[in-house]
Amino acid sequence: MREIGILIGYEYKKILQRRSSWISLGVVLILVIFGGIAGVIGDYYMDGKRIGSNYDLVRQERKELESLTGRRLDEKLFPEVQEELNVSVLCMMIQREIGSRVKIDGENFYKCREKMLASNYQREKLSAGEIEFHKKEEKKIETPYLYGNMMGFERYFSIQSVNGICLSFALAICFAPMFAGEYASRMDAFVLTTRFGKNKLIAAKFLTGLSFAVFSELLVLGISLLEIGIFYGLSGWNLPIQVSTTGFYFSLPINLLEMLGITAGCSIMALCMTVFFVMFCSVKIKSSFGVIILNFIFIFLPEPLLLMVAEKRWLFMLVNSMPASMMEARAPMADQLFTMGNRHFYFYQLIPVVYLFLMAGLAWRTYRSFHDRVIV
Amino acid sequence: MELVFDRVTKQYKNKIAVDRVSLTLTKGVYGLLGANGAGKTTLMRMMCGILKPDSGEIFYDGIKVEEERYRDILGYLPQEFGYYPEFTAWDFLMYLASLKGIPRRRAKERVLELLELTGLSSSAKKKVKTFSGGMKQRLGIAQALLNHPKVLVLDEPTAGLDPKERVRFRNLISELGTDRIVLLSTHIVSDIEYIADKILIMREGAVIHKGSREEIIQVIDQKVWECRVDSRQAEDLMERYPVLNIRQEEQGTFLRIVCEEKPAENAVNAEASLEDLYLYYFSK
Repeated sequence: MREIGILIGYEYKKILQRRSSWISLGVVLILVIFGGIAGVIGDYYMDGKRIGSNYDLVRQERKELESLTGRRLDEKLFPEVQEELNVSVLCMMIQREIGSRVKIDGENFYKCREKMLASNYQREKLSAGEIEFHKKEEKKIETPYLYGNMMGFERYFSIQSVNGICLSFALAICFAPMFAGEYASRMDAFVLTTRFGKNKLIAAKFLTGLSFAVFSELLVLGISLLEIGIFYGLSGWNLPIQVSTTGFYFSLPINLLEMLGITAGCSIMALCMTVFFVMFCSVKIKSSFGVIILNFIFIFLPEPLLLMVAEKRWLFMLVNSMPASMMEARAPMADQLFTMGNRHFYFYQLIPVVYLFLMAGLAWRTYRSFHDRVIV
Repeated sequence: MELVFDRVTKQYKNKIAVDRVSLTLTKGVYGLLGANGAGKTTLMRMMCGILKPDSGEIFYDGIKVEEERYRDILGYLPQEFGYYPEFTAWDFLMYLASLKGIPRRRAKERVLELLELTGLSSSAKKKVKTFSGGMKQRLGIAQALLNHPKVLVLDEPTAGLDPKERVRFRNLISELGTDRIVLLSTHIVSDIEYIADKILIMREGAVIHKGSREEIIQVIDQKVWECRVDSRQAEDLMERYPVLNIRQEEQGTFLRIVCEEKPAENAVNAEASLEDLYLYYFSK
């Protein structure tokens, strides 16, 4: 194990000595930092008239929401918050689904939401079993919803996909030369004739990929949460996800912190999967540039595809399972479920397990390709 | 200590690169001679486990070349090799030492020793990309020796070295050959002549001769001739026989020729060298 540790150190050294790695990781860092503070930069205008700075607006909204901490979104509170940004967006989401003429108030809010979900399930062509499952889940959510400051989590969920995809691009650049670089630099003849060149070195490369993906995702998560915590606040961690616009459509009876855990976990798994795919391409394709291009397509493709295949269930399931999709906050908790016998599974429950098997398969293929490499 | 080649064959499409080679190498320095495309590099790559024979096997004291145990006692300098441009010579050797499973403290001592031996001590902290061709070659030789290999395979090790470095390298290899198997290939016949205990001659994928310098040279004993002839006769002889040397002199053209019979009236027998033998085999 000690030998693998030393070899991992050298793999990190190789990655970090490349200028392309620093540039790509630097760009990601800038984007992540900017993503966290973008909402508080600039001014807020209404009808062309400056109302105040975005920072002041966020501060004021945060203060108001934090003052409601501990209260429930019931008939009493609803009229007080009806005009506020969050609740007005939730009402708009309902109206978009069941009709804009419906008047939503504190008395019918939860009924309207039920109708919205029913309409949504119909549009998504869910099976009777899935609808039944969601209804059972719905019943587990305590109503009226606990209310408070959900802004920080809302902000995080809105930027996490961009962060994840940017990081995937950067890691594709960093890891494309993992094996292809050995061929291109003609170091393969040296390393493959050494004692550990066909076993521990390959293990070290895999562990470098895994650790790099996990650390970089955790770093991005940490930076984002730190910034968001400072400006927006994270005090609403125990609120049900249904008070946020991201979680409003879902039937999952979990709080915002649990959702953060699920989405962060899925992002980490998706990033690891991306890195393993990059390394697999790297061992098969001799050019690092070719690996980068192929992976850019692999990472970028799900975005436009998701819109195109929304109506075709199995295609949607496939595209929504791709790593770039799983980095999006909504994808791991999508309404479409995997059914095995009488049991239903959310994407976040099954796809990480599938990734583990796929990663093992890719690792095996990568191992065999490098181990059996022939130098002609 | 025995490295056995058992009917090893390798074919690329229609070309047989190595043709049923059976050999046993024991302690000592072996020089592999052959023209381009004779199969030397293919044979060496198979010996290092980076190219799989189509048939036949190679093993060292019963250990197959595919095994980790074999790689542990192997040192290899490929004909063409690269480096990580941003690594210093020190980093490069320390990295290869860790790949060869040498503990860190021992690796540091060994790397210092080899940098000294190859005259790279003063460049240890310089990036490899700034090295000249000769320096890179010396670095390649140093890495091959890191693990005190029992089997040392050197493919064109003296390419790019200046005469002084070559002499130093020859002496080093001679010393190393006392307790291990060293196989080196080169086009510089004099290198093999000076270092090799045994010479292997490869042609069209087969080892056509194996023996000491004296044994091998016997093949052309009494067949090397020197003569001075006029230019017309010189042209005629050059067409008919492999010419080892040609020099224009006032009295005519001086020729050194390999041939079975006396090529000219005034031709005299000369002592054969390994270079004569090489030309005899490979200019046919």
